[in-house]
Amino acid sequence: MFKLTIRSIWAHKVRFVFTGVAIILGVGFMAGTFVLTDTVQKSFDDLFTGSLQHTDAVVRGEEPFEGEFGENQRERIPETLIADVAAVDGVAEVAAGIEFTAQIIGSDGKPIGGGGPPTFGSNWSEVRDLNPFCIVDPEPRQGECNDTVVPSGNQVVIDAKSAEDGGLAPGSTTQVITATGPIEVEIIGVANFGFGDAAVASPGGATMVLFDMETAQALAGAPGEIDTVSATADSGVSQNELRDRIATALRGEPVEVITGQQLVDETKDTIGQLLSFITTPLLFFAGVSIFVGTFVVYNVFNIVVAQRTREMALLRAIGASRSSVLRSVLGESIAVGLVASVLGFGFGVLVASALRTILGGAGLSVSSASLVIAPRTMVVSVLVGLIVTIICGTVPALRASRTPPVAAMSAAALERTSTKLTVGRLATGFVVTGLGVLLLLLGLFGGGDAAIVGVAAGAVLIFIGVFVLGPLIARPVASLFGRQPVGAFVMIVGALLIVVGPIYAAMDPSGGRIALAIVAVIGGLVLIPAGRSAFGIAGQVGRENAMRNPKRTSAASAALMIGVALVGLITIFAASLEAEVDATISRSIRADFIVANANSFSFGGFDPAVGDAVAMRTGTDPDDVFISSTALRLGQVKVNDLDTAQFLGALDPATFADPESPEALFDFGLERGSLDLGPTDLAIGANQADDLGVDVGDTITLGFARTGAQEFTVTGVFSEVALSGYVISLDAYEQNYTEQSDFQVYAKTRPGVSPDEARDVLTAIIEPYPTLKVQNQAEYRDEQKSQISSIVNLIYVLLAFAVVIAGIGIAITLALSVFERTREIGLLRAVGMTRIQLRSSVRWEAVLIALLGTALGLAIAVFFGWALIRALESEGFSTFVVPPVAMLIVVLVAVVLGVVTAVYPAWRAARLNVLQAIAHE
Amino acid sequence: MLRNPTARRPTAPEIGGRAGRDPPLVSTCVTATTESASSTTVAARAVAASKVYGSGEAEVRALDGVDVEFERGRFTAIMGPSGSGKSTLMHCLAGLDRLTSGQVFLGDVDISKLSEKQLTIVRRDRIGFVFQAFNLIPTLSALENITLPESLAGRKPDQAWLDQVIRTVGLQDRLKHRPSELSGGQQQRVAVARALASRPEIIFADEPTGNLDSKSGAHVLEFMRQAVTEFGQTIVMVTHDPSAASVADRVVFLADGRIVDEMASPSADAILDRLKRFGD
Repeated sequence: MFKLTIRSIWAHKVRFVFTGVAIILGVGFMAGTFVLTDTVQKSFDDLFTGSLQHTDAVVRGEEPFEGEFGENQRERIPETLIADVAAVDGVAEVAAGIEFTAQIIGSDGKPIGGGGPPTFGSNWSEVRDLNPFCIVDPEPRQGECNDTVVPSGNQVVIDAKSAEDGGLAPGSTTQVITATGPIEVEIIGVANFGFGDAAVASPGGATMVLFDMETAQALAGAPGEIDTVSATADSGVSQNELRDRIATALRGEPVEVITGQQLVDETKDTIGQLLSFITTPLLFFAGVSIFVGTFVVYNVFNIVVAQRTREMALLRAIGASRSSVLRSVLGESIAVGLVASVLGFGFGVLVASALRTILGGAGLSVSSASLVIAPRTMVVSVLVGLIVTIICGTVPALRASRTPPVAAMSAAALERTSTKLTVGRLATGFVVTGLGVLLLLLGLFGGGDAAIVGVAAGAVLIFIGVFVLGPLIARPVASLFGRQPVGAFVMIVGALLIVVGPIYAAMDPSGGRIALAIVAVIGGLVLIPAGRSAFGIAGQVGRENAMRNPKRTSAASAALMIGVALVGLITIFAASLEAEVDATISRSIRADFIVANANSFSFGGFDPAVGDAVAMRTGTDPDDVFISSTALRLGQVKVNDLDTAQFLGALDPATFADPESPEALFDFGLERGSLDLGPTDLAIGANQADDLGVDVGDTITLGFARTGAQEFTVTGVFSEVALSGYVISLDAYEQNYTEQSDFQVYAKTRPGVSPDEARDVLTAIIEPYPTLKVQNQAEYRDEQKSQISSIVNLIYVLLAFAVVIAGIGIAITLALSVFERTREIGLLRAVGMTRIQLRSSVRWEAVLIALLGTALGLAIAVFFGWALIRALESEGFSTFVVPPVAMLIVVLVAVVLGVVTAVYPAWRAARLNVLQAIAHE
Repeated sequence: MLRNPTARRPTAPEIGGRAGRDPPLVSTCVTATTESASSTTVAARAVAASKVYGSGEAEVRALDGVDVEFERGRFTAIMGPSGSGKSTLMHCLAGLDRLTSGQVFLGDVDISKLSEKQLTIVRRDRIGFVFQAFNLIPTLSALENITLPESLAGRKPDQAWLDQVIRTVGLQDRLKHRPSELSGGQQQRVAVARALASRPEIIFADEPTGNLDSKSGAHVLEFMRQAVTEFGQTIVMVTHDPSAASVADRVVFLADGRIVDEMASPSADAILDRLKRFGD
């Protein structure tokens, strides 16, 4: 029987290749994620192990608490500790370090980087063993690094990536902007981070500008202070010994001493955590692709076995046992799974390699070390592929083994899978769907640690349940959508796209608009023939074919259903979120203008001089343009005994205490108490207050990095959380935080002053700061929303994988259906159906399958979206929006997908030889 | 039950009048062809038709220089032992297959010169088909199957003619049924009705009764005979059943790819006798 398995695969190699593709893509996605993150992790590990190889001990401020994203919240330490450390017996060399936010301006006057990785300023260390940077331009005369270049005053060394991105080189002058303002600098050196093969142009894509220590301290606003002291040990002194000796010497100081190895491990951990922010979503979407692929594979195996009933029956008739038929079919699945997952693994390595290049191009430079292919990647890939195919192969194999031998002789017994729906199937479908809904709702509303598991399991069960129930509605849906008015509608939309697209681009030609117009025209050119297919006998044949076997149609569309459900959910959720953001900002922000970082993803603070300059023009003097203004500062704080740090906002209380006053910039929607905050008063969001169980008059302990635990009194509870759930006065902020830099500045125009005049004043104020921009309230709102859409677009790209797999599923199913209908096609061709008509009918069938999947998917998406928003009501969500245009676009994309999937099956159908087709068994 | 095969009628005027309705595509072909004076009486003909499969040692000459004409308004049966080339001849005459050499004319049109697309249109507009089995599209109703060629052409069927055809084959009350709900005999009658409905110049039938019991088969043959006798339809039928062939006006015998004999107004016994001699 083994020989038969192999022969059978060979005989049906094309369909197995297609089946394999569904697995290859999903497994490849997963393997690629593993390989990429392993490679990135390895290259960072190498990098830090290398750059810290001589560091034996590090002294730094104590960590009062960990930040929300795992970053340090340490206070600086006095520089006098450098001498104290150097004096410890066993210490060979010491070097101090200080780090702060600094933005390098490129030769084009625009800030470099800042779109994700941080922008740092630091100090240049003259101790080679303790300096991870290595100047390569000007080129070293001897050795690996040019240590003859030493910055001083306004001379700086920058990282190689910033130099390239900003068009800067030794000798160029430019600006660096820090929280203490802009400064003119001269670049004297360009440095790599790390050494040898592990060297990269920049540490993790961050921009670095290195000053001499004194300048760095001044720019950090911390004269006489440093972040760390690193030390190398005399030979014969171990890292642990050195650490203990230094710790003993510094007893009583608010510091922490660790070994170099501890720092390396800590850094690796931090990078691992940061990478998991990327890995986890990628693995999730790889999982979605595999899940979708499972439906495709199941469907194909099922059809293939059904088409081979006669062969199975013959085997049984000539004496094969049930179990050997079962084993033979299951063997085929396993063989396909094995081959496909190995190929998928290889595909994943290719994907990872390509992604690494893309990441490198996008700024996250990864060292040139080779790809890391862990045994785990290989094992998991093959296991996943095998499990999927075995699950998918079992049901068809069982069915094959039940073929009665008589089916070999009688045509009646050959009648393929019945199109009737059994009561059992309906019951199963409803029970599974109901269970899924229950789990989903429990997960969403019940909360707790198992919530995410409940939601995921619920979603999977709902998909399976609807898949089981799909045949119930496949017929009516195909019948309804298959009519000519639907085709006419699709044609009209296509024609509109072709006309409106170019007009839209011509009105205001820009790259984005032209690209959109091209997409619209191509979409229109696909939609018109798609809609045209609905007409005439070809459309009728297509529609009838989509209706004739509801199980097949529904199974073919199931994979797309899942893809569309997720796309739809994201779309609905994003639209609801945007509406929410819109409404919240409109309700709670009364300011006319907002000064903020030009890069909306930057959380770095800027020079308070900007806020001061705005304040200078605020008041009632004749030349004042603003009636009120305030800076917004953000800080992290430990609230009571909560594990993670919380974001805290600080504002001038006069701008929000009384929302009715003309000076009010904010309306926080006060629920209880007062917002007139003194230096130890706190205003808190209603949800936060509920979670903490506090109310007006209660005391809360806020833990600050600089001043430690401080008692604050809750004076007000508010409902609108536009900025932060915890608000204190600027006075309180100044007392409790070291770094005084603004996150945003809000201002309201005086009555009688035109918006243009006010904007001109602000524009003049920020002129020295290329990192800043002025926005009015509408622009601010749009930007907040565009941040949502940029994340949503990323998710669309990740989901595209699943949609492509779903498309492959439709294509194979159709190709198999075409094969099954060979004789029918021959007859149609004999009595005069042209190839064009034939292709048209296959196309319409494909479009109907795609529309069925889309309809089901969108229905599920609406339910998921609604449940999600309801569940988030306690977090302040109240708006549930189903955007009609976006939903229409999803439908149109599905139609286009249908057309694309029909290309191969339609081509196969059209090229059939008429005579052979008629004679086909 | 069957009519006397000798009771023939001349070509019905409506068949002859069809040439004027030809789509432009085919008209172009007409001007491109060379023949002939006999076009008014000959519906289809093969000239030195040869069909060769394979090459060298494995060469098989399915048709070996066949010259044959099929007159308008007549019912011709093609007979011959298995492998004699009778099906191949029909397929080539009907534009389903191409000759290796020689020509096939449908009326004045040399269809061996037509492109695949033009052939499809010729099949749709000028030829009717009845196959042995699997004649109907399972997803279409009986009526939709009957009007399929007209629908493919995007034309409305001639309702009066359609009604007459449907009445003749006795399918009035089965029109809404799907093929799976019809008996084998009814299915073949639908197939005959389809072939007639578009008023083709010629109908090719490939063993139309081969899968039927004798009674149903007799019915189907009766309708075909009626179509020729009453409507002046031209029919060419491939069969190996002498009693089916005896319904025809003329029987052409093929053996080894050549025409070896023919009979006019044959009886079943005469045909059987002739067939027996192939064994010699």
